[in-house]
Amino acid sequence: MSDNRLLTDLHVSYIQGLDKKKESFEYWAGEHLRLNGVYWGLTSLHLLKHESALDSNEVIEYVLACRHSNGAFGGHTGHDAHLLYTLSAVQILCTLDALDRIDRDQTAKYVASLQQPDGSFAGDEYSEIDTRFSYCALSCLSLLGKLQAPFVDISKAVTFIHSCKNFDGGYGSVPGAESHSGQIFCCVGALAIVVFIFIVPKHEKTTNDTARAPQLSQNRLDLVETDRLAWWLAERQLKNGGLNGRPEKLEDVCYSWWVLSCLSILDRIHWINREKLVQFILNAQDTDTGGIADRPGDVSDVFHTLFGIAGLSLLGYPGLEPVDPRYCMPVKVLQRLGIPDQP
Amino acid sequence: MADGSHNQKKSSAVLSAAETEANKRRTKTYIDKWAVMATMRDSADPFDASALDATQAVVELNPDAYTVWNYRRRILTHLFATSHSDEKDRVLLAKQDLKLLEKLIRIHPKSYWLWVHRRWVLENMSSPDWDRELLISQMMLDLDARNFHGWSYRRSVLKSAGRLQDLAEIEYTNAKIRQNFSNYSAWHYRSRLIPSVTGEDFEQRDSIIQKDFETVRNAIYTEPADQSAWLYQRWLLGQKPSNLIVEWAIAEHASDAKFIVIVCFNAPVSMNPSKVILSDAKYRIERTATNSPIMPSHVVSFSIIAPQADTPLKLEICLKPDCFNLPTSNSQLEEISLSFDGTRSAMRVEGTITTQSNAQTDNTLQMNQYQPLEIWERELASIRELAEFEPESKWPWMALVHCLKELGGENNVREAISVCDTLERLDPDRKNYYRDTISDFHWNQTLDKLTNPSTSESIGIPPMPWKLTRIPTPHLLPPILTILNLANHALTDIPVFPCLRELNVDNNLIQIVRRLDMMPLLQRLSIKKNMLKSLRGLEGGKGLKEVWVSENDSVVEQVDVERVLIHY
Ligand SMILES: [Zn+2]
Repeated sequence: MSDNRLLTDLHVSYIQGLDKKKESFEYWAGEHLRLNGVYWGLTSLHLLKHESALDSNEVIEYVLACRHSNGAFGGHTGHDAHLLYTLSAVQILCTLDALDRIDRDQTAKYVASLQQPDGSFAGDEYSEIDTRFSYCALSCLSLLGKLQAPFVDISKAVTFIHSCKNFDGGYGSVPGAESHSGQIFCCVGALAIVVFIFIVPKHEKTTNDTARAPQLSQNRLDLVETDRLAWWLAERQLKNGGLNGRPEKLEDVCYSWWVLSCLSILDRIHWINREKLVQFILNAQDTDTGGIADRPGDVSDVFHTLFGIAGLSLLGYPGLEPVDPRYCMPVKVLQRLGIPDQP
Repeated sequence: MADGSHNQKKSSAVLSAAETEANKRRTKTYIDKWAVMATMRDSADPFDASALDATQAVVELNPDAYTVWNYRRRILTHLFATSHSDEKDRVLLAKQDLKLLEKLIRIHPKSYWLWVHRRWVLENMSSPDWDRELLISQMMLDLDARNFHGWSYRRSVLKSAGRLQDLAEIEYTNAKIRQNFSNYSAWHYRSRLIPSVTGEDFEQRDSIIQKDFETVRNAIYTEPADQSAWLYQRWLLGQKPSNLIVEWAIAEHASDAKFIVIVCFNAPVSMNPSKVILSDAKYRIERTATNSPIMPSHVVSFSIIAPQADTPLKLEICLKPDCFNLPTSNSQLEEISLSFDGTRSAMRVEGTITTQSNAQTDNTLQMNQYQPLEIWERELASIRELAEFEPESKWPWMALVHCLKELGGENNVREAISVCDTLERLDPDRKNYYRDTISDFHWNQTLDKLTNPSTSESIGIPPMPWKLTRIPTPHLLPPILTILNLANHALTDIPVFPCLRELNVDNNLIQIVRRLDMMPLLQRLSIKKNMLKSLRGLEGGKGLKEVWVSENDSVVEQVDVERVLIHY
């Protein structure tokens, strides 16, 4: 399997062809998350360095067509607003440098309106509380440049996430729920994204004007039990090189992202066998149609395609655009937005 | 996280002509049903009684169509308020939905939106039948004992029914674990359940815990390669509680009237220096004009400006709770005061934070009480026996290291190091984890020997039969030491020693220069013969005067850093 390599061209044409399968039931049944799909496909293309494989203007117009009058986004035109799709919309607009096409304050207000008194977030007016939504909200506000009061109470958001921590160092969807790599990504990612701003009170003496600049304290990773959690995450790697999401479960390519991004944020990627994981992801490629599946021999889809490629990028696979483990977006997009690297 | 396709074999995806035809017909039906639903939704009379049927037709084909569930909830809300406002009619309508959901959940047990709707319906009933809901969760967990939704649903039902502290749940998880020791979900659930059920009744808690040690022993002897019980065993043994305390604090004269104060805590903190209070108004905290972010860390530093040059630092520094970002809002910190009596490294730390800290908070949340050392000894003996019996299984060895580390002492540490060697052989995929662990043992041993350093301010780490791969607790190096030689190890990062003036890390594996801002006193850094790709990051060292970087073959560009003499 050593001649295994990333089938870049095939994946590019696979993603380009996704919108042409209109006869299949799965195409229509997946309509409600089409905007997620566009984020997965577009980000894959950017990481593959094929930015122009999709028409940017067409994508932007589609995203704007999913926008509701309150600044939120639905999963497709004619679908209701939800935080999951609002994050995808903002991610896409950031990647395409088109954030000026929306009213950022209005979208930020919608996101903030989903915060509950205990600091948690709901996905929409009906849905449950889930740390997934904490991540969506904080990531979205950060990308919008609105991760601050009065939009959101960051301390409470952090307190809620902290209350979902388990004895194994991992995090669940709500307090009491079992640790799960996907939820751990959401919690660790959110704690890595949050920024606290201390403003120096005006009445205090300062030596010069610049001295009144706010002090930033980035991230709350001090709340994570790094070695305990990173070891638990490293134990997700199975003999075949793939990663699972919980103890005694099957391996799956999407965990190449959920587990690996956390290990990267925690600076512990070297605790697993990188080469074996690279091979596992490459083996999950569909060599006929393109795209990456959840595991070798299964049907590929755009969700696993992105998380496979993003995993390879974090593993340093040659020829890929670097990805930011906190946002699952190209590093250069975040640099353009002025979002600081993780210290 | 189930948004992609899972477990769909490629071979099964190749459709026969008949299947393709059926798929096409299904597509057409779905598009038609959606159109009927959407027309009604957008009409003048969206809450007509037939609207429920229109939504049902869509969600039966696609339970993830959340927009349609939203519409259905609006219809129901309308009907509850109008034609079906009396209790009997409401219950009838609600039961109709519960029945529909039960059918769909059996077909799509992992569809998130079905559970959302089910909870919504129940919340809108005046007296929901929680027993029946528990049975449903039970049915789900009988089909798949690890189903995430099944366990979440169970907890949410118990919460709504006010039965989260039910002793019966202890029994239920017992039964699940007896069915299959490999049920990490059930083991996890116990770690949350036992503290909440037993509350302050420590006797009851201990009797459950001791029985669980027994069950774990059974499980690990039955299936030593299964990680579930091994992980749970760590919870049973517990974690030593610790309060946030100050390890040490120093002040160093930097220039003219400026002093750098460094405070070291036993856990990472993120502190806001602008909230620090000084006992003497003639001194002030220097504001740094930087916008660069501060990482939470064990060590915080800030500068104090004395009223004039060459004034000794005679001062009390007070850190109040509002200096810190703490995990929970109910932290009750007491203040810390540090007093300096004028001499350079004189330090006297008075008062420590005596209540909430990270560890303490976790303890109240869900941590088990820390077991006495004789329990650790007892478990150690039993694990050792199993390890000898199953020498090729890694988990007994892992648990052995965990216990030996906790018990400490030279012999235990020596044994732990040799077990890590075994583990590296048994589990080569995680070899770097074991190497880091060995490195930690060696470093901690070195540190123990340094607790009472002589008056010497310089030290080379004594030769050891091991190349250090990381320094786990550089902040614990006694602050009296100012010069350190760590050449010829296998470090991949520059360790942050907050008080050093000189550091030699020649001949290591360092690729980037970072976090020098956390070593404010560092003046000389030798980093020859490493794997540096660039010298970016050197500018972070604010006190840096001289740097040696030769024999880093991949550094292509020379850089200019103000005030710093760089030897290429
Ligand atoms: Zn997956």
